[in-house]
Amino acid sequence: MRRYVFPVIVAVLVAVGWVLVLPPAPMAQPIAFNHAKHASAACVLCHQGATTGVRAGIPQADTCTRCHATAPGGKISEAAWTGIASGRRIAWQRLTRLPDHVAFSHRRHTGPGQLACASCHGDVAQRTAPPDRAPVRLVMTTCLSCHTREGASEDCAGCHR
Amino acid sequence: MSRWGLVIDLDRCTGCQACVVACKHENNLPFSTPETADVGRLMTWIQLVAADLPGRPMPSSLPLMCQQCDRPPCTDVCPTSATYLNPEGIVAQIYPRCIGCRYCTNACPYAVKIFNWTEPEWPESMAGMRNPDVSARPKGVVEKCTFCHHRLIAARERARVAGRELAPEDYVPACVQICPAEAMTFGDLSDPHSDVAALASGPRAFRWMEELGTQPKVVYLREGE
Amino acid sequence: MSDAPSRRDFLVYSGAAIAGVTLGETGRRWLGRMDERAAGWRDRGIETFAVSVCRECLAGCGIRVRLVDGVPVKIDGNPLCPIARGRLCAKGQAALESYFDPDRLLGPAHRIARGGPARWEPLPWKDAVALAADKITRAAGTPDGIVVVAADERGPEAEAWTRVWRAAGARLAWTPQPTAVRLRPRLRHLTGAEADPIFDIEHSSYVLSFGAPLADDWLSGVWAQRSFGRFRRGVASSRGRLVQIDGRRSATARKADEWLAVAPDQQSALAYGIASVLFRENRVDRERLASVAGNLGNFEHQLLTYYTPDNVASETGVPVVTILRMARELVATPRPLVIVEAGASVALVDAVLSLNVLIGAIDRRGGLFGRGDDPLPERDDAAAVLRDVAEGRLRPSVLVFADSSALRALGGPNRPETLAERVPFVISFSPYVDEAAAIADVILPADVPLERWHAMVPAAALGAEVIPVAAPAVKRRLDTRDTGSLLHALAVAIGGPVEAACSWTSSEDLVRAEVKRLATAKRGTPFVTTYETEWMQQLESGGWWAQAADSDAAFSDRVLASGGWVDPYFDAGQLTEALRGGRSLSFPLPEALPSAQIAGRATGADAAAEPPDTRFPIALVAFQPAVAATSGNANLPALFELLGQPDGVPWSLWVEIGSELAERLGVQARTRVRLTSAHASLDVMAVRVEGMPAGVAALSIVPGAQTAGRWSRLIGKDPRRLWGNDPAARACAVQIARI
Repeated sequence: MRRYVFPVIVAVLVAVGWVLVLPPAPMAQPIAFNHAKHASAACVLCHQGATTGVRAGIPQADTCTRCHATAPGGKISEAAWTGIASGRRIAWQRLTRLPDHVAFSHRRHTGPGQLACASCHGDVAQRTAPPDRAPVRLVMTTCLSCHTREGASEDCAGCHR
Repeated sequence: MSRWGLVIDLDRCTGCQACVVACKHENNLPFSTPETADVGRLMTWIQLVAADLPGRPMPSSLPLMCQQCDRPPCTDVCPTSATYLNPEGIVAQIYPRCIGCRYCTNACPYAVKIFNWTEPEWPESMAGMRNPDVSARPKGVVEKCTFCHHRLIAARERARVAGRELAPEDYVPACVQICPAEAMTFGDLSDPHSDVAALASGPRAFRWMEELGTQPKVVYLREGE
Repeated sequence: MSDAPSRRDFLVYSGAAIAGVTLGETGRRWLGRMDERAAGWRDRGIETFAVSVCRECLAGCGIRVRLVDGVPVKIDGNPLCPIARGRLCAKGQAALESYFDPDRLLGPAHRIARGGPARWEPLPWKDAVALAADKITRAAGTPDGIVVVAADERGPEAEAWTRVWRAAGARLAWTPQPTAVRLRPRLRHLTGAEADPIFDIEHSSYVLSFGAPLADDWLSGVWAQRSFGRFRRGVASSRGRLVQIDGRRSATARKADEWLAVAPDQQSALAYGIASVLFRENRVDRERLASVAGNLGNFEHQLLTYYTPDNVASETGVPVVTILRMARELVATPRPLVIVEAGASVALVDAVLSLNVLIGAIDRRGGLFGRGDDPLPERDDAAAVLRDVAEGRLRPSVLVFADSSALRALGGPNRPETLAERVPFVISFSPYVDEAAAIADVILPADVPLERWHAMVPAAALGAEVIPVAAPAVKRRLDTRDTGSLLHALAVAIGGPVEAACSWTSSEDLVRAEVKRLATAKRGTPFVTTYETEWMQQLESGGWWAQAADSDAAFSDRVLASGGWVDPYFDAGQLTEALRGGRSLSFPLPEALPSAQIAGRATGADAAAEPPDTRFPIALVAFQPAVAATSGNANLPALFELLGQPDGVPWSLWVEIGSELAERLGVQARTRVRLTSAHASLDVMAVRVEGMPAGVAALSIVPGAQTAGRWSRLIGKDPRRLWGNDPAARACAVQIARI
């Protein structure tokens, strides 16, 4: 029996260590979207809530089909495109996420706050392939350093909800 | 700087508890069960309590929520500064900072800070019912009425985007908005022209347990002439 | 054992390491996915608002639903609705939980195996409708045929309902509207006016209430609450005084300046006693009364003879000085008003209406008005009809329920199961697993209110004529149908005259037709702000009847967008006119108080006349807490948390007992007691109420709370079993013991 105990312990330790030491798993997007190719258009063209809403939103097919009449060449199979164009949900993985207890509004920061998208989202607009994790790691200090610099509210309850 | 305050006219209040349901839905308060209610763990930020008020023939129903004290006993005892008095007079509770020691629930003379004994859970079909503007507090933290602070944030943002000052009607907590007897008035106590300031300095105004020196910003107007 | 690892060890440990890495990587990806899922997916968090109509009671408040990405998250009052004015009661808000109710019916179903525990199987719509239609067709020839029961909601859907069932030869019965039970018929009896009584609480200076739940949900909940608030603290008037005469310490009694504990069956004696004092002390305007009332002399004579303060005092237990004081107080302020519970006895309603005449409250600001209407059709009371069925006096072959309102009425049958035993086939249209569903053989679930098209006539409370109208606020969540299409499908399946009677295909048709009718009425307006509504009333009172120059389509859009239609015109002289133009006022001639009984009580020989059962010495009366008395879904957890507050017994039923009995039983806070009647026993929480008369106890009843779903089942047994098969409207003799 003892023959198996040590190998099993080793396997478990390696598994736990793997999860703890490595950064979160890369996120694979369902479509290899090329931001750089679309960047001549304003971000808000597809992320429609970026200046008007709490969430910027990730576009669904109805947004794509306003410009694309057919499957964008080479990046996506004809069959997948028909499915998407007929209204099937694109299972985008959200990369930049905030915890449930943070109240963040895009409109507030892009409007009165006059922040550029890149301040929080980094160079995502120049990426030719979808990044596998958020280009900028957002922690509370990221928010606070800017709030201090710009003289914005530093009241905890202003963002914590 | 605004100083938010709430006036409840007990002469108008009928004790219908519409405010309790409004608060429950607005602030994602999970449902209780007979067992949790029986041991006093009802998840409500506002609740009717029986109170013996002078000059009344029988106990009155007092809608009681966090009194948003100007000298809050709860913030003094918080070891992690999870609860503090914010510049606008709202006693805030920052859930990720809260370690669930419950010192504040003991310090509060009004017993309106409640502890999450269980993970907040809704049946699957009700997942969509939750207000996205308010977080669901995890098990093990203390929570309380915030004067619907998320509504203030949203209202201020709307006003800023429209390029105007915050108007009194822009920011109203859910309980005040729903009150069918029109018993609740909300506003800025520091504005001498506001309705709340006028009512709070009127002859019927009193604060619950004001002898403790907590200086609440929830003001009750007593029943009777 | 050597120090160097063997080849075997090497292989085993490398294998373990590889296994560990694989496991770790799988775990890491799994965690990532879980994380994504936990973050939740809200599309863009776009907030929209939709108007709808609250159908939790018959008040017809306009509501505004807050939707985020099309999903409802909160219900408020519609600010433009003249009934709700942006406010809402607890029940109305809880409709949100009805929409999301995890225990709602998923779609049509039929019962397999009658009797025993209910088991249903899903059925496609086509088959379910065909099954119902077949039973209805067969039942048409039988003697008692089909009995159809619904809440008395008025409006196009109710008319469609009536037309289809009339054509099918069914007998229709209704759970009556609050004013239609007694107030309206007795007002007609008194004044001859065909009108709904409108009580102007808001402007009165003194309200004497005979059991009216003014602080709860009297006639129209949100209106009552607003009226109460403004009555207490009007903008430009002094504080109104409220005296509540009530058998128990209701929410209104708690708010009142004075509460007199008088049992409902003794309240009419008190009302007439007060009237007799008014006559005796010459506090009535005889000249004015004589000009309108034919039988004033008789009335006065009757009162002065039989309802002397002494007689009334010994009948009701209210001291003579209090009766005298009540009468004097009543006429001491400028605008007094007397109100009464909607379901009170004929004698009490007559007494209260007469008192209003005596104090000059008719057609007076802060008084009692009439709002003219067409004569009401005679309608059978569903509770009585169902009692007949339960007791075998009526033997229909098919019983149809639009909702469970009739099974929740306190005077209805206490055991719905007996209906299922008596009637071969039961059909329910309710979308909830309620009492009707519990006995139904086939369930054809209709949409819940947020999913419905609305156009209805609200319970009468306001002077203005209001018709709330709305399109569905949200998408249909489950496999349900709107009432209009359900009736259509059923009519087509039945065929013949029933199909011919059906001129619509869906509720949308019915509502749009109603809006078209309103457009051609050339009066009133789509809901506008309170200010604009008042302005329009001024115009109309001045004879200016203009409607905004809209096309029908634009008018229809405006009505649907604002949530309804209102004609603020109000003829404040309706009752006076009826008196002047028609017959004169005829006072009810109250029966003499049984003098023998009075004499007996005075000498304390009462016990001999009516020997009390020593085993069951306490008279138990039932009441329904307003917060949980819905006509729709009964599986609403937010409401159960409100039960019993502020005395602190949420989620449970309670019995209110006087301090004397509480003392004897040693009842403290949260003491449980056992109630035992001749039929059953029940364990409940006891609440001590100062001032409750000895020998009486009041038990809360939450109707529908035993079958509806996971939360409702937590409330426990149906207390109506204490009454046996007798309806719970009457007092029941019980014994109370501490557990």
